Amino acid sequence: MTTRSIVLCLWAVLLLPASSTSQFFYFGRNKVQYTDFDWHVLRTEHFDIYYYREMEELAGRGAALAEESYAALVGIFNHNVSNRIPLVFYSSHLHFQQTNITPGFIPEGVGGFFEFLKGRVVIPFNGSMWDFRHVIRHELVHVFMHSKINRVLVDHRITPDHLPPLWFVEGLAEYWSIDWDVQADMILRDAVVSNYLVPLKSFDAIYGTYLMYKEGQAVLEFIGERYGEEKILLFLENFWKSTSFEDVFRETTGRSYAEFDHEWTYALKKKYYPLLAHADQPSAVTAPLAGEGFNSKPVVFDGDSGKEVYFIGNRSGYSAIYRVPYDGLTDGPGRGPRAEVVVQGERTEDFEAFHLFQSKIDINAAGLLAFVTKSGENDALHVYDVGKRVLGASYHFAELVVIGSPSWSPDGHRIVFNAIDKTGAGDLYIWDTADSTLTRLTNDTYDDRDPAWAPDGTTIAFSSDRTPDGVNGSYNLFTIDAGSGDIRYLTRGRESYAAPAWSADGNAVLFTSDLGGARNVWMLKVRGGVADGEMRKLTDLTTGAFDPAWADSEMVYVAFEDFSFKIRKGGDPYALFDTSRVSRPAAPPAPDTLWRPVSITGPEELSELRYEREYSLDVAHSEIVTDPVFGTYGGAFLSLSDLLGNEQYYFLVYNTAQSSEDIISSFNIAISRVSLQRRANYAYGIYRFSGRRYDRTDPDEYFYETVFGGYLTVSYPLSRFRRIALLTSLSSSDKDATDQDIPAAISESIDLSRRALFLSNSISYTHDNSLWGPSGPLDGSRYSFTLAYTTDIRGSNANYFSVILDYRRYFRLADRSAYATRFWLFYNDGKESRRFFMGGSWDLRGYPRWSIRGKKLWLVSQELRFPFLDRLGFGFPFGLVSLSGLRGALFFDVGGAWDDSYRETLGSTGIGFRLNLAGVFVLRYDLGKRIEKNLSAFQNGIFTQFFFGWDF
Amino acid sequence: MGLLTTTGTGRRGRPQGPCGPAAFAMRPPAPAAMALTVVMVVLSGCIVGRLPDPGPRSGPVWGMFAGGPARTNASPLRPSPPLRIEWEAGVGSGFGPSSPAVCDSTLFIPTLTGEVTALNLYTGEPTGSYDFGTAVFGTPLVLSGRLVVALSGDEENIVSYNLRSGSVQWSVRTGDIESSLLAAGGGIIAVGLDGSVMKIDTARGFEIWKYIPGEPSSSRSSPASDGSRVVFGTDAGVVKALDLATGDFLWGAAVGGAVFTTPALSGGRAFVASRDGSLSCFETGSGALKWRRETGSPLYGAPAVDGGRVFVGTSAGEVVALGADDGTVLWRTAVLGAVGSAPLVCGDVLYVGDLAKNLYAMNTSTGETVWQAGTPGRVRCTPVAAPGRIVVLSEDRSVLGFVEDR
Repeated sequence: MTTRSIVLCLWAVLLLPASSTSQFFYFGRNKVQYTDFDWHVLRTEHFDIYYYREMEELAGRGAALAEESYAALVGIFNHNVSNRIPLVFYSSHLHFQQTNITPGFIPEGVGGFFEFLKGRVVIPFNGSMWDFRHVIRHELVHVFMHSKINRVLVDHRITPDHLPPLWFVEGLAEYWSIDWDVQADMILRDAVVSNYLVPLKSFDAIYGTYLMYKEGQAVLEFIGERYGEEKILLFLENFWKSTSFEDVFRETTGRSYAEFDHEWTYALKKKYYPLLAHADQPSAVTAPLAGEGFNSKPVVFDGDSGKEVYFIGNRSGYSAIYRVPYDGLTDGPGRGPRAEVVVQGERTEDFEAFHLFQSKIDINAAGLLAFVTKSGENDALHVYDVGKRVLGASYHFAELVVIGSPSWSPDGHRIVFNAIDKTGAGDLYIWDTADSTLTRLTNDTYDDRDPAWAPDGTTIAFSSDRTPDGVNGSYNLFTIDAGSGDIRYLTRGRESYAAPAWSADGNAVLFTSDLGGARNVWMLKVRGGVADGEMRKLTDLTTGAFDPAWADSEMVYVAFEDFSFKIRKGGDPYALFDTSRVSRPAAPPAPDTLWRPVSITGPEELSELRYEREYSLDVAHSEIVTDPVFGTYGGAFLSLSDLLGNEQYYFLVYNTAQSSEDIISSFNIAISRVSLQRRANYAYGIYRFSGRRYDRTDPDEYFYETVFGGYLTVSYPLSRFRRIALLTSLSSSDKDATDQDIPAAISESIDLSRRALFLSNSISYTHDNSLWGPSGPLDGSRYSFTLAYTTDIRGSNANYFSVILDYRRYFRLADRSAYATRFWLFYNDGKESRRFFMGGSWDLRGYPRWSIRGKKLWLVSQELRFPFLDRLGFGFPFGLVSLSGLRGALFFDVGGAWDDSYRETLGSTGIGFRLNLAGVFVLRYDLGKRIEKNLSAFQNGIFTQFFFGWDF
Repeated sequence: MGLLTTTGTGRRGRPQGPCGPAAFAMRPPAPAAMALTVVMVVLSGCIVGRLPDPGPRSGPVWGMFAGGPARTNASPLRPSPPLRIEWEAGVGSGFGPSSPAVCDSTLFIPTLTGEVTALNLYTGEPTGSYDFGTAVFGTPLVLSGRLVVALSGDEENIVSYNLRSGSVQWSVRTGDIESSLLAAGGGIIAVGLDGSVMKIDTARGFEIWKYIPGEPSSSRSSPASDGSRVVFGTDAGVVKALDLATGDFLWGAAVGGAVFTTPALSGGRAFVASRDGSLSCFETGSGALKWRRETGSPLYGAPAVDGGRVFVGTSAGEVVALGADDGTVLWRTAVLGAVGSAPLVCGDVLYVGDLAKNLYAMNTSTGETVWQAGTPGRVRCTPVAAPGRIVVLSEDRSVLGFVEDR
């Protein structure tokens, strides 16, 4: 269950009258705590490192890397961090995704984060010590930067309430954690040559994107190189001089953003344009096979339907396995043939995520496609019959958390793959589908990836950091004998080699290498499992090439261009090999001394402790509110949680007294505990609320009510997409409306003063796999079904049940267009059953907000969603203001509400416009016509409604 | 600039005598004198935001950064450990990288919000303050009857404050300065943030000469002088020497990283610490490099020089002693945190603070740590010495007075 949703539920229970809780429902995916982590704490000189038992050795290595980074950063920043830094390690990304330190979902591309309210750093391990060191240092740069800036501002007696812009924050973290590398250079090369480089003064347009990270890093690299490396530190030392970072920038570099852009962009053009003299844009020298979105890991299968290319892509927003005919007609200029979805991901629990870019797929001669997805707690290995179009088998391995890159043996029975177990060790495994046995092929501290089974049936090529240069991020190619386990070098260099692919006869291997400064496809001839001669470069791209695969006598690979990854036909590898002018020897005759990662040992004093919860403040908020109707009230809100975010406490207190006599009776208090540690999340609490209420669902407009009671709610996620929630509450309600001026006809039929003890129970089932666009969902579906029952166990004043169904479905029409439909059925029946309400921009449009009320209610909404204006700019004397992403909608709503007898059906139709502001909220404007009198007549004139809120 | 602030003065209304706590003997007041005293009490009670006049110097003087024009951070005083905290005083703002100035019984504490606070050296009691309006990064110059400060972030960047009259005597606009001023050659030398250097007349503040660098180059390095040259560093990692009398450029030498600190001059040599971790020794006459030693981590604090030895603290948490003649490493002593300030040498004892909130005393011959104490905040500034005392600025805005613990 999402933390957000359980907290919302919590506040719904607390802040709404107890009898109305059945009216509250919500969607959202679930952050499922599958794993019961046994947390421990390793105390080093500067860190408290939180880890779980299985990954103890990895935690020690991470501790060493953290202390090493700390020492380096003290020198770089001329500053230290006085407080102990909490570092939370996870042995894999799948475990990391379960963390409650951040309530939000963690996308696959996130390598770690620094949460600056409590100073927590959370980092997953991905098998690579080099990546681990990079991410640790990256996050520690954030820690140091925050601490340093805070110090600089405080010393100048300036409130530390602002930070540098995100491009600087992330650019700095990259700049001081990793050298300018091949991947960063690839991004900048492509941006310059493909003409989408964003100048510094326009970085807002790429806010939060990976491009911003890399351009930010590039800006700092340029400043360090051109103006002096000390300038980077001086940005922080000068931070007190202005709240405008451009002023600080000018103070430090002597240049405005515009002046800097002029120098920087020109320097980049001088650097990268000459590349075109010898290297090519992929689109200039290759034919496209798949071009929309991000595509990776192609594999070619020659079956009954002809030669087809299977690959993983995300063109729809959901990752999936696609196929295209190898010789198919293109689907537009530069687009390649139309791709067909083979296996849809991110919609069901079997195929939760495809690990785009990380795990390849393979297909054997029988047309059995092997691939990996996240499936529940761990990854699963799947076999799909592409001919029959059915899933053949799915394999789950209890001890293996992350699996990647399956490769079939020639006999079609065994699959080799790389996997990370609970300790964080990344090794090779063989799964025999015939006898269901799992064999561990390597067992060491090195990171082994990309296995590829050779046609001889005994040799497996793979990429690994098991060389002396591995500590610096170098990966080389090796072969391992599947029987004996003997490992031999295929390549040997300080560069990075990856993605080996055997030719059909086993005499050649395609792979990629960043030798020369850009990642390209190379080839090596092989004999007896070792390199036979030199390796030669087959491609020379301005950007980068990845994942080569054989297509009989040709090859395909992935090329980066225009900030996307496209699959391309690469020509005849042997012909390219023969004509290549770039080569080098592959491997030396004897292997060098191997390396070992460092752990905390020796004289450092360490202590290892069992994790014990210590709570600290999350939020403290106080408020005084004056309302023309309800008067003035004020109060405070506090929330606490433990370091891991698993256990949370909320305290709310406020007073609504309008005179001194009412102070004691007008205290409102709520205390809740939320537990997110286990898979079943729960919350419970007690409350007392007292004050005047306006109940929009009842005819008595104002009344005074005192409510006290308690509640318990449990939410159990069945998967990432589905959950069941139970809620029970017992509350005493003392309601008094006798001071209201209520018409006699009404006052005679209702109790103006009522005391009751409400017992409410509800059970809900929720499903959500929707994919969101800028203003609301565009694909997938979400629905919720609730049954509830409320009774007054003291005075029989209320006794009603509720049925709530909310169903929403989204049919994707194009990348940014969808047809959306919604169906509501809200049904309350029984004594003192409450009314539901609708009307307004969020449901039945054209009618006053919440004006349609009834104990029963239904609604059907149809909406066509489409992009309207991509960018609209307004020029002002102070500059250009642009609005982007204005979307349109055509809608038709129909529904009705009644108590005992159905009244009438109401409807509306029209057009709407939506504008997402900074990703925080959406402005909505609708205009149209109401359809009244049981849909028999349009209103005179038109209605307009302006409001905020996401599309349904 | 020059906002008057309320201040708590310990001895407001009592005429300040010579430097020193009990040097002034009052005769029994005559009626006129009594009346005058009353008037002075009333008037001084009404005067706010004023720095005290230490009067004729007969006590300890540390009137400029690092103790003198050569910036050696070697004190003639010999406070010896162990020490204990005798007093602790809070000031309202943070400190820059420079030390307080001392004149007799008065400490002048510069802060980054522009206030210079005066404390009694022996009791820590505040005796006055003045708000110069914007950040004072460097140690104030205490000259005869005046206090001269350099400012960053205001239109007037060098201000001469008359301690006797309690008013600004003159101020000049030079561009921001984030280093300490130097009194040498009958004038005041200032290195601007833009890398320019000027010599200002002490009495009236007019410019005597100005050096403008050929290429833009910022500087936070406080200038040092051997009596005929001015030596300073730049952010770009160049050490420059100018003629003290004329401001003519004499020589420049590149080091491997930014020079944020002041060079220390001794024996015809300039010792320069730079951010690339190297300590370089140049002939002040020619700029020829005599030796260079890599310390292994960035250097943000200046070296101290005394007795043929050079002492420097490193960001890796070491204090290193080298022979001044050839740079031979004599000893290295590890401390608990990074050292970002110059050590203070007091005879055979060296005092240094670190970012891990510690103050150390080390034997200058062996490097042995002979005493250590915790401080409430990071120590980013060099301590200053007084008879039997050490004063340290702590990052939590407190000033600590240590006294010999006998």
